[in-house]
Amino acid sequence: MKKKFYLLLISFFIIQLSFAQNNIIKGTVVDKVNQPIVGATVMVDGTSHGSVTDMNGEFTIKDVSSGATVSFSFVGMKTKKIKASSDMKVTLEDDMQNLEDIIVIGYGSAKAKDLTSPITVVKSADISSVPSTSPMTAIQGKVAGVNVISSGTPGSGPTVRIRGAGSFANSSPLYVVDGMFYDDINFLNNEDIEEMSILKDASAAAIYGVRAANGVVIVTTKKGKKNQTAKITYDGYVGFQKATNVLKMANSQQYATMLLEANYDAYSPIIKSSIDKYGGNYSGSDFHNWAFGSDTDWYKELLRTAIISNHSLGITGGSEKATYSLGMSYLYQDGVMDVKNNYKRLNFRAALDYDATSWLKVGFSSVVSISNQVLPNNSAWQQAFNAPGIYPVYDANNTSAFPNKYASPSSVGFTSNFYNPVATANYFNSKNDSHQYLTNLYAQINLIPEKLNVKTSVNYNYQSINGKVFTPTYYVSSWQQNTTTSLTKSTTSYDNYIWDNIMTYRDSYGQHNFGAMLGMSMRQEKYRFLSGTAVNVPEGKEEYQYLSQGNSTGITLSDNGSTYRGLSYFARLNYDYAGKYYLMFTMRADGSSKYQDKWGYFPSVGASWVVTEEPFMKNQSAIEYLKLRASWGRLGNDHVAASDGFASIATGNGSSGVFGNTTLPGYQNTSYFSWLQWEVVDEINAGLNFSTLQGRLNVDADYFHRMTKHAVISPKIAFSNQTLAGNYGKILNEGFDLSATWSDRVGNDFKYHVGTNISVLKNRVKDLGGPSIIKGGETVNIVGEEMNSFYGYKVIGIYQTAAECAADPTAVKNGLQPGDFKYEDKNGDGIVDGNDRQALGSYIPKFTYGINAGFSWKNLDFEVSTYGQSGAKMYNRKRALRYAQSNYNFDYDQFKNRWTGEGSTNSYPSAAALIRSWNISDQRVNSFFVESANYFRIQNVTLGYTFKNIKMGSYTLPSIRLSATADRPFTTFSANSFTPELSNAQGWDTEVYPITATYTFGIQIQF
Amino acid sequence: MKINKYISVIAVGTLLLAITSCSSYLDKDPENSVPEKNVDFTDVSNMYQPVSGVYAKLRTGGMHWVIWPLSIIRDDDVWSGRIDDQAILNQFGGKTDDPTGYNYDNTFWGLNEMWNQYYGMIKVANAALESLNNYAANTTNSAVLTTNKSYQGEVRILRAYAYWRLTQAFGPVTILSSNSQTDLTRSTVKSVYNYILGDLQYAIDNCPKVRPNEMEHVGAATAYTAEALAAKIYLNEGDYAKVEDLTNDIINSNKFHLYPDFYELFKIPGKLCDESLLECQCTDFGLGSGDMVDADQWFVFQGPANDGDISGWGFIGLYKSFRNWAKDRGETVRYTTSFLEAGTTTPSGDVIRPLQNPTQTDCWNGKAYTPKNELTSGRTKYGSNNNIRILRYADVLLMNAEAKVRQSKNGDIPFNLVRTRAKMPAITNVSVDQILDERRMELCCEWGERYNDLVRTGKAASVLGKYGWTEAKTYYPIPFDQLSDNPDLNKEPIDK
Repeated sequence: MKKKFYLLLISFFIIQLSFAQNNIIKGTVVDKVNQPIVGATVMVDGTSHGSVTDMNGEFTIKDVSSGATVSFSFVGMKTKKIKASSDMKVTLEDDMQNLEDIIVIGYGSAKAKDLTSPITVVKSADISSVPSTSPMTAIQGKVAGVNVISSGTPGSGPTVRIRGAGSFANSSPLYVVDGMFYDDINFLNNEDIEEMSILKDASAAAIYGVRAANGVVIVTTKKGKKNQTAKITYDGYVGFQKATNVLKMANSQQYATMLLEANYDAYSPIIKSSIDKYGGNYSGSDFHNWAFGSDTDWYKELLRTAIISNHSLGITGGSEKATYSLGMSYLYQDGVMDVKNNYKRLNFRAALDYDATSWLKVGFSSVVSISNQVLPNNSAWQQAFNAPGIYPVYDANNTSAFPNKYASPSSVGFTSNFYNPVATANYFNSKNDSHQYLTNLYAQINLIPEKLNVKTSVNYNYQSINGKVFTPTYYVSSWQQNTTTSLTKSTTSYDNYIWDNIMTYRDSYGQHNFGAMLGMSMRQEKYRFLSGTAVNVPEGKEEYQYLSQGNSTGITLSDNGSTYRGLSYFARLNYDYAGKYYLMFTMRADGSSKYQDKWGYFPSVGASWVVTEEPFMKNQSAIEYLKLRASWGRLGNDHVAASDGFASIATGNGSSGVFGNTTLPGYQNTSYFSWLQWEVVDEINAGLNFSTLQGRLNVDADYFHRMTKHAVISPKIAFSNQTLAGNYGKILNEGFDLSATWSDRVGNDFKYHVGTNISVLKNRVKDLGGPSIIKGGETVNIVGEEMNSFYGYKVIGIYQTAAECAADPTAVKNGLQPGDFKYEDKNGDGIVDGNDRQALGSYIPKFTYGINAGFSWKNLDFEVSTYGQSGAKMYNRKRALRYAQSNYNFDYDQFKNRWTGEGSTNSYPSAAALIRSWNISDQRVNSFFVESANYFRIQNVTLGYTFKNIKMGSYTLPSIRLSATADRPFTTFSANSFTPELSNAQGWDTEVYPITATYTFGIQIQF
Repeated sequence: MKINKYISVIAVGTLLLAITSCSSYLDKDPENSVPEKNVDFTDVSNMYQPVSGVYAKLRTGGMHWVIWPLSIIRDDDVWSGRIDDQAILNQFGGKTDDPTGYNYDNTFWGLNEMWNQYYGMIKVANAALESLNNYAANTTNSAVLTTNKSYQGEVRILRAYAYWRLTQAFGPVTILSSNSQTDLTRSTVKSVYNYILGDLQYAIDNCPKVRPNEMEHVGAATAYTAEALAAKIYLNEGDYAKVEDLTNDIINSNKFHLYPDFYELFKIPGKLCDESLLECQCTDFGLGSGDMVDADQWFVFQGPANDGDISGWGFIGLYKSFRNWAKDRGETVRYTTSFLEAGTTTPSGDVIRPLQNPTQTDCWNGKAYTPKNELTSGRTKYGSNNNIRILRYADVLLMNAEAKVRQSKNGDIPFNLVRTRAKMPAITNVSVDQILDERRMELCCEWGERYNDLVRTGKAASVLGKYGWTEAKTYYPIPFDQLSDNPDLNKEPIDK
């Protein structure tokens, strides 16, 4: 079947057609201050004929029939339609509303003014200035309703949420890159992207059915334009990254102070042992004055300033029948940990579109991404957080240590929870090689020109990741050693295709405009994983690192995979009357091989009314443009498992009894099992687009109400630690997105703009299918509270005096002392116990905001963007870990603010309290450890200067732009943390990796 | 040209239809999973498999390390051993210097773990009985049916054991007659005891009357295991005649003997000796590397704070006051066996380093200690290849003696067997108090026998009262998470 199809495609390429010769038109396109517009699109209406203006704003089009209409368009300008003539001078007006922009929507495109739903478009210029390894990191703070949580590890992408979190399982959006579905777009270079359309509401996203519940981001890679001479652009930057907001830890003396105040007898042997071994002085009677020879700042030992650079080269152009775009880019990023760790990525892309005949258009696009990630051992950060300064990095007296003389924490008497973090960072060798190929082929047949066409496209993605982890032999201490080398190699592959067939019809009868789209899509997603581990692989060269070099016995293997198929039919109908009243209806039927119940149906409707088109609005000038919109739609989330539990009995040694010196095969048949179904989201959206003051002020506002039904959640099985998932939950996300921009021009040379976007979100668990509370490992879900809330005791103060303790039954019962936490007696029964625990907030921000501003004056341009969030909480798990090991290091804040006697503080516990289980343990989660995750950040500051038309002998270089960028130079937050942007989706702060600020110098040359 | 256009559209359309008609496109089996094969209940050669699974659960669940301190820290002799980790355990028991003990906190994770692990064992046992019934329903062979009943008896002994531990910890608990039971209301202690005794009677009637080390599946529970466990229940109920009957039956079988070397009894040579009535078995297969099938951290948890292989997490401390009491009694081999003191060298030559952290215990549980020279060469995990002793003949002898004395008979013979083995002088006309003291020494650090004795004899208030014990503190509270997840547990226990 496939073979036939390819034959068909090839035959399309061969057939050629010729046109009758006609007139030639020429002209110049300028802006209102008579400056030539470079790159404006000039199209002959009713044909696919067109051109692009050159650096003098000039264009030439052949074969134009007399009497034809020519339209002129450019980003940020109002489109103009003029009757063709041989010499045209066209002046385009500024367009602050961008109503004529063509917006990419699901399986098609539409003009901005025709939309009935909120879709935000991010252009390449908005992201190319940001030195980020992942494009989504670059849009942080730029789009209302899109929450981006960036990650610090080189090469890893951010967490993205569109309009809140609507699933206990997975809330990341769908990315559609040139028709292919992805869970992230970390493989793309910022320079690969032409634009992104972010479909926020259900009526826009419902065309993607069961994949769309978390929102959809449609990514279009760069394409050429017709009749454009080759445009060659080099874009590059080099810069450095520096850790910021590094959490201040207690130094040796402060650490000793905390422990000795807590329990002198227990901890003085360790402290004295450090002084005996590494110098210092404990002769003073007051231990607060003891001095330390070893005062290691582990973070300082681990951190470095790291470089980052990116080079990209692009060529775009087009002839009368074909357009093309080629590009390559190379990104290099070093990690900030002071060992070899980096991320390299080489990308190639190509796109070709060709009018094979008057009725047939074919095209091809491809992105190849080759990346290499040398991973740091991130557990070193955790160890550095826990390790006090009282032992050094190196110790020549650690005689058993090899290959390096790292100091052992056992030298001062520490036991197995303490490590030498520098050794951990160095005795590690892990990397991932990734190859990813995305290709897209299409053929479009125009059955009735400009009215009816059929398009078939095949999208194929292959990604393979080869991972390697090698552990050398070393010795630091009896619990930080490795006596035999071990090597793990793994191969992961993703092999996905999508075949789309779409028919589009458009027509008008007088003032009535119709559009229809019918489509079908079939897809397969195949994942395979193979991994092997061998021990005793020779050390030395990398060339030795093969499993077959290790011990042949004891090799372990693991092999896994999944294959899912989908088959979908979808339709979109839209209608408008006189550009005033709009109606849209979509429907998608989705079949999935993953679930027992295979078919789901996802409809949506949308309507809008352009009020300013009404006659009664014609006589006023206050409101330039006003459109009211409303929509409803249903979406699905198939990022949940198809089933939970085990249907089969448990066997193996874990289920077999020992009899004498061996096991007898046994089984345990307490199986539990459930089938699951995709989650369903119903969303209502109401909004408006508004423009006033000669189009200088533009406001988009939307209210949304998203209800997730059948959310998958796992309550506990009675009398068991096991959980069994079911589609029991209901989650509501309700909120408001607003964006406003003001842009204006002062005189001829000075342009400026100021914009803001804000989102307000309310998240609530509405139903858990029976129980009112379901506890997870980290957070709980309570009906009526935010999802994934922290749960525990609320601290209302610190016991200040013994008398206060004696008077409080809770303090008496639990033997509490001054300096301990005082908890709220929530149910008022006079005693604090498990029943007094309450929801203490969640990691979902209630309010996010971004402010962007910029100006250009002559050849100088300046942009600044900021981002902030509030209303979110995080759980400082790093501090709470003290429940497991009482003498871990302290952060400085705990030392500085500790309770030291009556009246010293009513919010921080004493040093002694920090090692008592009343104050700190997994049973006593309390509000002291729940901190505000609010932050404000200057995202990006860029200053650029452009030199235009530089004469180099006979050659004129169109432009060179130099720029300096500070990315994330400043972040402020109150939490005692490295960053409020957590990799843990539930807001458990175990983050020990500092955020980095990046400073770059960039150059862009157009040849 | 027009023709081509329509031909191509028709071609694509046909292709579409062809795909659409392939409705089997979505019928795709999941990767990497073979559909479950049902157990073949006619193949009686596999009939022991569900039984073996219950023994596995005793090992993997019933020996969870947190169960261990919760089982033994409520007397006046043993404490958790550490204040800097799992500190909450210190408020659960009696502290030698503090009247604020026995302050139970039902949000402690360990209580919940203990509850879930024992019920996990009960569920596996319930499922195993179902499997055995299926085997029985598929055969008419009387020999197979007899074996089947004996296997059912083994499962019931293990299930009874789990309920016994649950009542010791929590008092009234839920009887889970079936794994799909929805009413989770608790039953009174008396009802649970009757349920346990029913299971044990079945085992006494159907299991072989042999020593565990004589069983076909070496070390499996036997009719005598059931009798010993039943005797312990009757002892708690004060039915001394029954205790005497059951223990007499064990003694008169002449199958059981005290292992002569008390020190080695708890070490590798004492595994499944003739004194053993029930052990949780572990193995390293006699190999220095590769898989070990063991009770995870049970031994390591109690390993001393020490350098080298003879070390662990440093939990389980034996109070100095208790050691002094033992010393004053003139204990010798039981002293050196039971107490692993810091700053000493063991009879096997292992050096225990002096105490570094004075807040930790300076004496650990010697009965959990396996000397370095008894470990399989290549193994370094503390206690590896050793079994966990659960029920032993010495306890039977002491129960027999107590039952006799309480019925105004002479208990000297069984009593002095235990004394003599421990190299202690014999006593004539032994009293109940002397027997209880003997139990305190002989069975110290063995599953909370001391606390059970204090509670069943009514001595707890006078002995533990000064540390905060009251009758209301007899049992641990029902774990908080169980109460909130299973509201039936809030109801009054019923007779069932």
